[in-house]
Amino acid sequence: MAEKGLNIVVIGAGVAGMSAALKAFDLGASVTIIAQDMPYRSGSTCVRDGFSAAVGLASGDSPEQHAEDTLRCGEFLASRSAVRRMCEQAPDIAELLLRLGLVFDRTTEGLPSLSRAAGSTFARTLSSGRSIGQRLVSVLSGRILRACSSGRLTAYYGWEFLSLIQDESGRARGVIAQELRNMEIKAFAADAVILCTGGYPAIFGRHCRSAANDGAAIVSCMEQGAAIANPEFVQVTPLAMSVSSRARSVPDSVLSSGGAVWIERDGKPWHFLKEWHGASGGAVPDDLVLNSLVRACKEAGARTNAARLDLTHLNPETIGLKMPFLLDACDAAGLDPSSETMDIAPAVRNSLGGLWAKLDHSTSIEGLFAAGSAVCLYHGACAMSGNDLLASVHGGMVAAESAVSSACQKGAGAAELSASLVSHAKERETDLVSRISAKQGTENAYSIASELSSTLFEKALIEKDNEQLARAAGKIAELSEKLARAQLIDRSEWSNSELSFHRRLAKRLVLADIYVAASIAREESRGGHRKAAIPKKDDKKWFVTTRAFMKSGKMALDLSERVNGEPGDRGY
Amino acid sequence: MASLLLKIKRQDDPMDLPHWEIFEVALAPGVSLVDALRRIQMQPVTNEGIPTTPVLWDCSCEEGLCGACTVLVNGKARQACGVMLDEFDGPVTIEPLTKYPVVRDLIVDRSSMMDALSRNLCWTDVDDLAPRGDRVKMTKDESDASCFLDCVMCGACSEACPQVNSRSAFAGAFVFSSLLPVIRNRTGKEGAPSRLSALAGRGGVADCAGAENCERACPRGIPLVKASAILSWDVAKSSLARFFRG
Repeated sequence: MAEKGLNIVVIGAGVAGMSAALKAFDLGASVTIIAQDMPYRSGSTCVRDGFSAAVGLASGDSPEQHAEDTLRCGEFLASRSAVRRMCEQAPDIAELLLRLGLVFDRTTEGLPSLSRAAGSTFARTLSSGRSIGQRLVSVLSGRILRACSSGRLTAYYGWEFLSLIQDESGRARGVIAQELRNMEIKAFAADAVILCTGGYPAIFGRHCRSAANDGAAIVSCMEQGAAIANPEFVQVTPLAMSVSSRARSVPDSVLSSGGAVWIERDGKPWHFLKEWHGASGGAVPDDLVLNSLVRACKEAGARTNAARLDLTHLNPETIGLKMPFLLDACDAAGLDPSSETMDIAPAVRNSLGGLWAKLDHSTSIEGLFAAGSAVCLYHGACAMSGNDLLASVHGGMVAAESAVSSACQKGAGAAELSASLVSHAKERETDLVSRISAKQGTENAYSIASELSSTLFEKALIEKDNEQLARAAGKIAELSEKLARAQLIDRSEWSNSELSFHRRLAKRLVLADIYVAASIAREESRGGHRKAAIPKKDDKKWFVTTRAFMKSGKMALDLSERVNGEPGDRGY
Repeated sequence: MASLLLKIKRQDDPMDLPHWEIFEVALAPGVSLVDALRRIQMQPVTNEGIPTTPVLWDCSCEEGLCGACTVLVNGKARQACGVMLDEFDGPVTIEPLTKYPVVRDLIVDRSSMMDALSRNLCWTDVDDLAPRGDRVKMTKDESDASCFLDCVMCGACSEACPQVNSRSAFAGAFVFSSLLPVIRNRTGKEGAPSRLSALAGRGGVADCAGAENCERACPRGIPLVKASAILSWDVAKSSLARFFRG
């Protein structure tokens, strides 16, 4: 049980944030959630790829095997100890989610209907309707409401996290946030802070998450002393349908359930995945599907990396039962998957890097913890389908335990935080707002953002090349200068979302710069990081975690930290 | 290139009076209302060439799963991200939802939906997050109620419901959708009587007048009429049981 009066601040109200808040609440702490919007609006709602847990033990599956598959899929770059712990607890978490009100899709007998994630030995991915992420969010949100009604948990929805309050020793002692309606800037004191703001897929433009997942909060923490791990790793999936300008990701279990991917060659469908990855039935993780697609398109002389997802040979019932996650996108696009093929093209599924953290989710800033896609621990160079929500729930709970015990050791002391520290932290943010408000230039922030994402997506993502990356870095520098000359069109002091956009765009540019620098530095190809000139991974030199941090106002990279675990071969 | 006029209802803040502005947007296949609003945000100029402030709207997932971008399109509550502009021939009116207070432009404050869920105890009564070591197995009751977990709190059901108004305590059918999976859950049996008796009171099932607009309006295809019927029956059974038990 936690000490009385212990206060934990959780930033973000997605699956990871809610799991962290609920666990800290369970441990007796007072909890404050600060999030841009209510849980129902979080980016976790877009996660459709299920929840993996070794629950089908009769099949011979085990948590150890789940861990082995996860490490393999991530090209052995994830922390072995963290992955083993997560997979060990996965069946218990699945059962907890059931008690909390989530219902997994089931067989007639009531057993979970499992699908097989690409790269996994057994079928162990639980699903729930059209979007398990959305359902999980609503279930956890109910639990949060219950905690709120007890008075010991307070949720501030409609607030944007700006920066940490640090004491003289650098320890995180609270946060500065802004209310997005009346634009009030407020300090929240805390004994420990848990950051669960998601990853940074949105900086790449064509992505499958929430537009709010732009990594701004991660950059704020880095500017205050936290390190970012593996920023160069981003998971790009070719399994993404286009509905309007938005990409919708398709879980890769569609491949093991019989879905076919082909491109046209000489006027005929060419099943390149089956041809090249026949042993796995064509069901390989995103990075291999992508590499194969790029290669096939080159061989077939296609101009773009577009393919077709074909389910027309499947029984319509199988599609409804095994792939309900497809139905929303098909409805929106107005097509029937049992009789028509679907256009798919690469899109960012999620980012894989995030705040650097130890096994207990503590970051390089004392008192700051991170979970969900904001932290880099569980996925390595490629996330296995179904591990995303698992890592968020598990990681959120671990982070909360660590935050509470770290705060207990220090003793509850939010009240002792010196007033000058708080007002100084607040002033820094108020000054930034006045500087942005005073902007009188001619450039347009929204155009800068779209230029940034097309630069990253087209020149620095799918087949990386040092020369192109250097040019992208130049472009980012140019866009940063442009932003300084940008104009704030909206002068309102009420609900000014453009102001927040300007502030976050500056952070996006910092993150893009780090991403490109780390991409140049890592001279190998591994999972979601692929260099055209060096197609193989290099375990002798690059079995390391990239760490990016700020050193006297400048970004620096450290490439000396060996990964926790042993390198290996994927075998597919 | 073909274009379309969007007539947008605007309001600077909750106290301000609404006004209309017309914008011209280019039409191309696959352009959604969110795409168009983003265009306007980038260059806020009306169809008469007059510069104005960017139009604000709520948006997060852009795949119909977060409920944020719900607005009235020609009077009907729809998710802006799923509205494709090539379905329209003439000018389209865009307005904020009317059952919730306007924050600014198309953004409304739907926090009262959360209050309604709290009032109706829409959560399972689990002691804590520790594992119990049970097997993962779903009952038929749980599975049958799983479709009600698809609610995204967009507010389309309450917008369409004549019973949701300033003179009534009825919050909307989303409450039924949120409560049903709780009552059907393995942990829900014990807590069901108190939840059902609350639902028998003011703003409960009896306030649903059976217009059935909610189900037609629901963008997630949730059988809300069925939810209302099941809960009414549960409430009746529970009241009878209380009567006979004394």
